[in-house]
Amino acid sequence: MKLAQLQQSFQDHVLRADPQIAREILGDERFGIAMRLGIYTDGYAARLVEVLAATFPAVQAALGPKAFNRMVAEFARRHPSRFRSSRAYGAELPQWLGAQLRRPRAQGITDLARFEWAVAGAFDAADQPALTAASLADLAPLQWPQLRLAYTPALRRLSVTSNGVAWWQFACAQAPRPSRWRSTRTQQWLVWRQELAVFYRRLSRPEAAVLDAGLAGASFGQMCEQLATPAVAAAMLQGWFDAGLIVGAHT
Amino acid sequence: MIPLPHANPAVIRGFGLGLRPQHYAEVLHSRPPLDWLEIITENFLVPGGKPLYFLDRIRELYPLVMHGVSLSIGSTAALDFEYLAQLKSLAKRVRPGWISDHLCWTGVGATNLHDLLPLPYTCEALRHVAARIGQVQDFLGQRIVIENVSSYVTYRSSEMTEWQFIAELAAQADCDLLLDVNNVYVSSVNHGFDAREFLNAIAPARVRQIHLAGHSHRGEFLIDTHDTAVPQPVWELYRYTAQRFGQIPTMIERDDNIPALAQLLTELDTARRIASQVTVQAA
Repeated sequence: MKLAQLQQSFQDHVLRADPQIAREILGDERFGIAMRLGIYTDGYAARLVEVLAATFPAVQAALGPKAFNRMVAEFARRHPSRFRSSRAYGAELPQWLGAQLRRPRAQGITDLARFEWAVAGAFDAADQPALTAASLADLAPLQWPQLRLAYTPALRRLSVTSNGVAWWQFACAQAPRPSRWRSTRTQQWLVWRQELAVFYRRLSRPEAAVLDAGLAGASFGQMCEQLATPAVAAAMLQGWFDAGLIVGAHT
Repeated sequence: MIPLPHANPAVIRGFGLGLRPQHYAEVLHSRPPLDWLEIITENFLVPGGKPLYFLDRIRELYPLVMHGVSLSIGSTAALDFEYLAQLKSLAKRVRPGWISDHLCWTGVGATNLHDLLPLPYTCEALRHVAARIGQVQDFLGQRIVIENVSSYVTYRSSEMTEWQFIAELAAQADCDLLLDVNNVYVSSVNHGFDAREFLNAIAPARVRQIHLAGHSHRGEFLIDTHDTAVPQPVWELYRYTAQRFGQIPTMIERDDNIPALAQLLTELDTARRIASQVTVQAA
């Protein structure tokens, strides 16, 4: 068997238990072929479960290790990694888990997993020095409406419709255990990293709308149109500067 | 042919450890008595945040070598030049003594199984891997270091032993070698060969670095888990390795079940002691 064919056959065995490769392997009286190949198939599932447990520890805690391992091993078989670094693997897990569960737990686990994915993404997102509000002190009043802001690459925005974040807070010992999984009205959350620490906070609906508009490229003038008064906009902007969310500004 | 240079090998001497995230802060703040550290390349192929923060600071304290797990040099999938560009960029930042990865493949058809899968020891595979190492070395502008992996299967198609394959590969590709003594031991038990015969076939001039690690047992079969202390049979094989290859930079490679840094430093002292005894015996 040519090398390319042999590797494809080996991979098919690891992912789908395809038996073809067994014919290419030598066993001996001590250790049989199935046992030898089993090291690789077992190892594949165990490794990706370990990788995803490291990225989604609160999901693992919420589902329980047994259910988590079973579901994630199945996910790994259906969604093989296409990433050099295992750290990048798992973006599709939140939706996939949701599809395997019943409501309202399905939405809760999905939101919890999306939140953990956001935290993991913020953790090692690109570094960019934050601007201070003072850097805009010289901006003429007439220039403010045209101002466009650049936001830190370590910012993640989420809308959730369950108490999944409360379960994350519980897993991190930051809140008591929720009594049950439940659907909620839409909640807006912000996850970001400032220096080396990852933070999160719930956003009001107006702040979420304004921030989303800014992230989509709106000017400060366009963003302010959604707010009641300029004072509200100024306070919001000051908070973003203080949190290190703003890394650039141009007119 | 003009031999490719090493990146900066002269600074790597003595005994080191594999740098793990659990120890970043302690290494930075307590500055343990280590001659050098090995980083996992993929841990630092990230845009920013803590990993690169610690890397830049630890880089100022210790000489580093880079050790990758996803070059997939033996795969029949095309070489990933985007990855190689990232590797080159990281090397520019780290200025490592050398760059190493494994003699294995990790997947085909864009899939990554995140495992170090064994190659058949055939003339076809030898030509294939030697050519790819040449491409990588040309791209990086330096010689790379290739490590032997543990294996659990023997392919019917193999035409030579693992050690013949590795020795020939180093000569054909003009690359250097990282000898993982635990991997040699694990494979020797699982495949029933003499580990010393393996080591005797390797040209000392090619050996740039030595890994020491532990394994676990599944009955009589050994699994290369790198998650335990170095066991006695591996220490014994290390003694033989040190006798044969001399003062090669040596480190403990712990990948899982990571203990306190102090425990790894104590373990490393055993390697230092064995190496010093060997030197005395040789004299």
